[in-house]
Amino acid sequence: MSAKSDYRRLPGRSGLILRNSLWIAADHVLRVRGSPFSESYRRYYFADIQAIGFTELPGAIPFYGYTICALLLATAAALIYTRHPVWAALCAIPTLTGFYFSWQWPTSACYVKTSISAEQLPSLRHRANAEKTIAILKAEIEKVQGTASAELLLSEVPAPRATAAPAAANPGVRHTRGIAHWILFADMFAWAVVSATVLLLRPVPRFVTIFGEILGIAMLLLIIIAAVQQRRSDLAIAVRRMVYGALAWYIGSAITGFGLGIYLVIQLKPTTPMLLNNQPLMRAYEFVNAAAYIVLGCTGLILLWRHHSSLSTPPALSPGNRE
Amino acid sequence: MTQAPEQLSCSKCDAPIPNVDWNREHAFCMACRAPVSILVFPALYAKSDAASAGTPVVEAGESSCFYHPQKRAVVPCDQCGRFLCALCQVEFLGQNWCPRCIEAGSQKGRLAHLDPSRTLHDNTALALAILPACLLWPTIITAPVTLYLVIRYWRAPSSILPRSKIRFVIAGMLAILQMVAWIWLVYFLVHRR
Repeated sequence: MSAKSDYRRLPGRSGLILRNSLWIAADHVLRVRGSPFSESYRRYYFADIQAIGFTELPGAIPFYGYTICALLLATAAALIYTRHPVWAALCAIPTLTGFYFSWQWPTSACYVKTSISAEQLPSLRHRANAEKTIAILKAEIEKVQGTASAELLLSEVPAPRATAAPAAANPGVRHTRGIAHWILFADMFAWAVVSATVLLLRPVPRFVTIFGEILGIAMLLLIIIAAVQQRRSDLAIAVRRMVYGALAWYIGSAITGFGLGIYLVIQLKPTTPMLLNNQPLMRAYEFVNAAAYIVLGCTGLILLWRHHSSLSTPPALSPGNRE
Repeated sequence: MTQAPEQLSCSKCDAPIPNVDWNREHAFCMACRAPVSILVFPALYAKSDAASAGTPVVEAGESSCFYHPQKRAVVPCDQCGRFLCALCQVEFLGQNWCPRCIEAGSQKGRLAHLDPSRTLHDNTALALAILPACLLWPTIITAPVTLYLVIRYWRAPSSILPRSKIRFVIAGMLAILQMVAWIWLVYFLVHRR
C-alpha cells in the first residue's frame, strides 16, 4: 500500500473501461475517473460543499431488461437441449450483455454543488450506494460546517459575487464539425445499397463485391474515429448514441454472420461459397443487415443535419451594416 | 415560498426545487414527480469576503513583497522564505505559499493535493507484458520495453489512491520470463546446427 495515501473508498462505482469512483479523505471527497492507463481527480472540500442533490430515477427499464434476458436464457437452454450449440452461444451473448446493462442501468442521479460548480457524481448510479455515500458525506460536512437551521433554510441565499470573467458554460466541451460522422453515415448508406445490390442481382462483378468490402472495413474505422472524436464534443447526444448503436450493431452482426456461416458450413457442407450465400437463412441475414444499415445511415444523416441546423446563428454585425 | 437566486434543481428534469423542500426526507420534484432529496449546508449562505489586493508600502523601512515591490509584505513564504503581500499569499496545507512554489511543486509532482491526473505506469507495463504475449512474437520487442518501464517508473508518483506495486512486480517477472525464453530459443536455434 502507498504510505502516503489516506483515502478510503466510498460505496458506488460505475463504468466498465472508464470507471468512476468516490474516495474520502480527512477534509475532502475525491471523485476519480479512471481509464486503464490514467486517472483524473476532482476534489470537493467539505468546507466548500454547499448542497448535495439526489434524485431517484424510474426503474422500469432494468425490470424489462431482466425479463428479456431471462427469456433469452431459457431460449439458449432450449437450443442446447435440442443440440444447437452454435445458436445457443449466439443467444447467450446478448443475454449476458443484457444482464450487464440491466444491472448497470442507473436508478439514481446525484450531484454536488459548490460556489463555482454543480457537478454530477457518476459513481452514485444505484440508490442503495448513493444513500449510504450521501449519509457518510453529510456527517463529514456537518462536522466542518455544522447543520443548516430551519430559519437559515428559509432565508435568502446571497447572490454570487461577480467575477472578472464569467465561467464558460461547458469549459471541457469542444466544438466539432462532425466530418467523420457525415462520412460514416454516408458510408453506411452506401454499404447498405451495395449489399442490397449484391443480394438482389447475385452474381455481380467482382469489383462490386470488393467495393462493398472496402466500404465495410472503412465503416469500422470511421465508427472508431467518430466515437473518439465525439467525446467531450458539442455533438447532439442523439448523434453520439447513433454512433455507439452502429458500433454495437456492427459487432453484433459480424458475430452473427460468422456464427451463421459456421453453422451452415457444418450443416450443409457446401462445396462452393455461392451455395452458402444462396441459402435462405444467409440471404435473410444479409437482407436484415442491409436494412439496418439503411436505417442507421439515414437516421444518422438526418440527426446530424438537424444538429447542424440548430447550431447555425445569424451573421455577426460588421461596422458596414449596422443599420 | 421564496425562489433562491442560486437554484437547486432536480437531476432528472432540471426543474428548480423550492427551498421549503430542502433538507426534507421525502420530497418530490413538482415537474416530474421524481423523489428528490436536497441536502443544504451553511456554506450556501456564507458571504465570501473580497480578497485583499495588498496595502502599499508607506514607510521607507517597511518590508515589501518580492513580487510586488510597491506593496507591504505580510508573511514570508514557508517554502522559499520570500516576503509576500496579501495578494500573493496563498494558504495551502496549513502554511503560507507563494505562487511560484505552488507552481514548481505541482510541475515536479510533489504536491499530490494539486494533481488533477496521474498516469498509471504500472498498468501500462502490465498491459505491455500480457497483451503482446497473445501473439508471441511481439514480446521480443515488448519484453525489454516492459522491463525498462518497470525500472524507470518504479519510484515515480503513481495513483494518489491506495495502490501496491504488485502490478510492477508481475509485469517485471513476466518480462524477464519472456526475455529468458527468447534467449533460450535463440541459443537453441544456434546450437541445433
